[in-house]
Amino acid sequence: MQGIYFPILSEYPMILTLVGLIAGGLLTLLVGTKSERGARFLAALSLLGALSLNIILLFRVIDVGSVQHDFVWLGSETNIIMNLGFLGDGLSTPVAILIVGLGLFSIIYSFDYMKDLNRPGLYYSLMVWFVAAMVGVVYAINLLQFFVFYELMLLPAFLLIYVYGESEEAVEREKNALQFWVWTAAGGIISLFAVFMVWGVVMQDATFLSSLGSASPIDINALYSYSFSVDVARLIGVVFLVGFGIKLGLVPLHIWAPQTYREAPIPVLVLLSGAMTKTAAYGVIRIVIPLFMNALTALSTGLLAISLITMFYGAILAIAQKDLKMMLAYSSISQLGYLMFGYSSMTIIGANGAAFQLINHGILASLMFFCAGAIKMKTSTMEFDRLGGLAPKMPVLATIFIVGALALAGTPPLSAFAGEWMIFAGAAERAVLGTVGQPYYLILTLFGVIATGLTAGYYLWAVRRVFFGQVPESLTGVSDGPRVVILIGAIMVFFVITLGVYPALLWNIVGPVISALGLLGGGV
Amino acid sequence: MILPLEQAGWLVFVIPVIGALLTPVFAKIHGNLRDLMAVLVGFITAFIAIDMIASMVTSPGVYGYDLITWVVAGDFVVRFGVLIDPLSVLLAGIAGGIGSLIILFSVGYMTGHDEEGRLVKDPSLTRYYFFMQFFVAGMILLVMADNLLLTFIGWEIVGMCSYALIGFWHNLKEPSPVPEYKTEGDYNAACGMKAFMVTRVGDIGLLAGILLTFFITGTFHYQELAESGSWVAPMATGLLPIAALLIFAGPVGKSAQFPLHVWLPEAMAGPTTVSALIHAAAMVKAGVYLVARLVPIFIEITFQVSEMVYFFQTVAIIGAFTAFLAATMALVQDEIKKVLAYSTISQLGYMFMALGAAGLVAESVTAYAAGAFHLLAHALFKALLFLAAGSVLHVVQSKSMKDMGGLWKHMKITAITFIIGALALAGVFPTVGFWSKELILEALWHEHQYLLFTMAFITAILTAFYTFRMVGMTFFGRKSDYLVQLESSGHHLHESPPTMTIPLIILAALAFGGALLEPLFFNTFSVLASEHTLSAPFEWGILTPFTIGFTSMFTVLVWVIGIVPAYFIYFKGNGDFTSLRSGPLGRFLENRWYINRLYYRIFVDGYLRLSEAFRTRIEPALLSFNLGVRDGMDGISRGWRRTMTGVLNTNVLGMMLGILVFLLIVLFL
Repeated sequence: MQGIYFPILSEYPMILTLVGLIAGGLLTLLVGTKSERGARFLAALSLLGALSLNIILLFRVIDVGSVQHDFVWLGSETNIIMNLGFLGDGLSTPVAILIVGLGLFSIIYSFDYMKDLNRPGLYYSLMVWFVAAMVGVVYAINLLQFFVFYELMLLPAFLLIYVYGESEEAVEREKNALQFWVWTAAGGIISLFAVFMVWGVVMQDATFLSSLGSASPIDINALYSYSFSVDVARLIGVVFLVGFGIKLGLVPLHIWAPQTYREAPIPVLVLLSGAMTKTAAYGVIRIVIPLFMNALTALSTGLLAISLITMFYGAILAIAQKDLKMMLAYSSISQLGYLMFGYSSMTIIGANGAAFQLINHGILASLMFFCAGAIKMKTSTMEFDRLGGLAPKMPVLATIFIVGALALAGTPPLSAFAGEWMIFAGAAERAVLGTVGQPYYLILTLFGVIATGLTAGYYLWAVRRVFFGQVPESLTGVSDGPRVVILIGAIMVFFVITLGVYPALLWNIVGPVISALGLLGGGV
Repeated sequence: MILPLEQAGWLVFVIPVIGALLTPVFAKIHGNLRDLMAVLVGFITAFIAIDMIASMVTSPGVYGYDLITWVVAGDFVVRFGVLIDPLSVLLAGIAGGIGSLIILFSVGYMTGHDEEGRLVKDPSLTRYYFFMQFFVAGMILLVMADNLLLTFIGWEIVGMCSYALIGFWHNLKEPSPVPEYKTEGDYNAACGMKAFMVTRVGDIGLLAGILLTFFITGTFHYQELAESGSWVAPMATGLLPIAALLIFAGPVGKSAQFPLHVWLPEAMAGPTTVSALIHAAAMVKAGVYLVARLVPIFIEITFQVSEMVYFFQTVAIIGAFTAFLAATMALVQDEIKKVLAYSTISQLGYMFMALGAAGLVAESVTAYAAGAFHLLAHALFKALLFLAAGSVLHVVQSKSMKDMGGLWKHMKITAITFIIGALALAGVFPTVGFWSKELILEALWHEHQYLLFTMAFITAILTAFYTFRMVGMTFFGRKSDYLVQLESSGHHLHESPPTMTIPLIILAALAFGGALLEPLFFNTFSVLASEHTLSAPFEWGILTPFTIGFTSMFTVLVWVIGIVPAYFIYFKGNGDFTSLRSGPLGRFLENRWYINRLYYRIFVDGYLRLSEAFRTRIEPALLSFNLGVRDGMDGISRGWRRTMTGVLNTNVLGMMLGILVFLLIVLFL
């Protein structure tokens, strides 16, 4: 993509994105008090702008590799304590595009889905700010900045669940929002604790500090060249993983998720499950894997086992659910186990697979939630017992749903397979080439693949119960999904198929960054 | 010949993909254009595939062409390409050639009569043609792929299409044929899902096996795998047989071998054309192909890793047992398509028996060639049998053979072609089935595999019996009450239209005279002897076509023991077997040895009960902790909130108290 260059826009896309989203959210809030249409328009416009800026950034990244801006935030030019900076590279940019894209879709989807909004300005501005905070996490260049945004995003998320939750009673909404807040904030604090531990360790190393130049000691990039001792690295790595594990929803740390997912309306749920959990997954690949991989290798079997438990637990519960939304919620928990499975193998191929799956799952989980929401809009229910035979009534939506279901079940040539085989390949590599515990890795690999079979089981059963067979009396007048949903679904399906048939498209951008990260690995 | 192999190798699967993608577009213009284009795409595909066979005959060899780089991740680079050798073009020819005939047949078959007797098109034909073309494309991709991963992708495409096509009529209102489901639509959808899930069980092993193989050998590519086997690292040799057996799980699922054979009978829920495609041209042949592709490679490895022999033993024994198992089940089926389904399972067992034996014996080429040739023979006669059965169903509008009988007079072309297919299935001289089965028996006998030989022999007798039972019940004997009633209600029993009979005639000619392909078949493969790594262990040169040996006497015995009783019972109507059918043996066979029911108990009902227990017991226990935290936090915040009264007096009082405490601390600590 040589030559696609806009002055200013191409130079400062990340700063402009953040400023634009924050200002856009503010304007949305103000205008929203007067007109709902104005709020919708402004919110969508802010995100459209952010999306365009990130696409421009992507072209720039393809051209020059990475774009970075640093400002001294604390300290002086000679003695930097902390920087404020933004990094766009082959990994952060696609994730940012994913988040902003999902934000845009969720907002457009809300036009139809969130009818009779109480204080629309507030709703749309919170959505915009939620996206802004998540994008801030992805761009962050130092650990503290990462956590500032990481905690900031909980504010809009909390309010969205509290004010716009699906429960009728305010008390119930309040409780569910509160438990979401408590758990995820706790996760953030645990990770923050790990940040301070990192800080404590590196500040004692004079040679490292003197080698920093214009970087601050907790710049993620600078830390890549620091060698932690194995014990320290293992401790810090585990603390980080506990923190991120809460947000990822690894069993048994997932317990905040079911209530939250039950409460959140579909567009918010898309951002929670499709985007917010991905920031934690992004944290693992950006921080934990490169800094502590070697030290954590010894814990690999245990981490793989936890991931497997998550995959199986989510899958087993998914098939028992009585309504589509909760089935998708547990499916999402199960699928995030795949990401962790890839990371846990502590191999380059596994981490690659997980990074790819991060984007895939963001698309696919959101796609399924959008479809479920569309079914609810048309039939006003998501209970399996009251649905059935909808395929002839809503052929396009059914096609989109089934493509998504098959993709999530790991069926090539759809996108998830391209990531999943590498995730399992990570464990297989350990089973063959590893030095210890080969039989365990062999069994873990096999069970990992078995999880895709369970996934196929609950998704295809759901397809049968929702789309095949006879239509219940009450639903004979149902028509195909709203046009907006069809359009959003079609765009997402396009990506699902394209990335599945030719994953190198994305890999050529992401791959080099991860190879560079993975080869470092820290902890001697 | 006409097309250079380099282009033909990828065009042959890209064209049906494009055809499938354009199907909805053509459908928008006109329904007939869509059907026409599907047939056209089918025949172009067939032409390219057969052209590749011609190229292979004129200039045999192994050609590989790279197409794209699929994944680059660090040091891992996965390239996709095509591999053109006699085996891959043979399979592509079968899939493309028979696939095109089936699509042509569909044009006539997928229409019905509405209540006033007018011809109507099935309303969801766009979906039908999309998946039929995609199915053929997936199958050809699978066989043309030059590496295991791309084969797996084609493999799964085939599985996905079979899911869509078996459950094609998912909203039929008629009552379900089995009591577990409410309507036939529910039943069909369940059958499609069952096929997908059962084959997925095998695919799990296959994917795990492929990944292990990749790390043991460092490659996915068949040709690199075949090259000398020098990569067999000492540390990983213990894993190679495990990887090989895991890979074999895939073919067991896809080719419906015991213990994953249970899906194929239910796959009959789809349109008969789909059954024909699954059984003859695609899907079940995929498993045999993969084993045939890997056997030469694994034989080479056996010289270094002797444990690989377990792989061959497993393949041969599973094949032999499945052949017998399915043949016994076929004896008591009353639906014509079900009989054919079990016969497919049984015949596939023969192929695995032969391919597995190839790794166990000294002169492996005979057994290998027998397995591969039976694959071709079976594709020809099974496509014929299914389409002819489809022609019967189209007219009779009932699946049960009890509703047929005496159809010979009404549909001669269908009957004759069907009987030719039946003769081939039973292995009667001079049809193609005779020569291929003869070759298998000969190879087993000659190499002293007496256990396998005995199984094959007994199965052959059962096959001859149930095949002619089927012919008798369908075309001969007394006309059933159902048919008499149908005729008296004004329904005219007639021959099917030419779009249906022409494919039948072509296939019948091939099934009858297919043995003439045998010299061509051996010659093409024989040039590959030893100089090309992919068939290194085989000396094709020693094979002579049209072998008739000592075992041919047994074959005659098969006809006598198998066909003669069937003739007297089902053609002439002698004997009464109702008591035997309803006795314990009959029930045992009819219930498919209770295997299917056992699986449902454990893997469906058991699993659902487990998940229900998770939902009602374990998850609430975990969540109760969370609810405790939630309500606790809520309580604390409510309690705390009470202190925030906003009353000035209270605030000032609080402030004073605070200062007092502060002072006390500062002064005394």
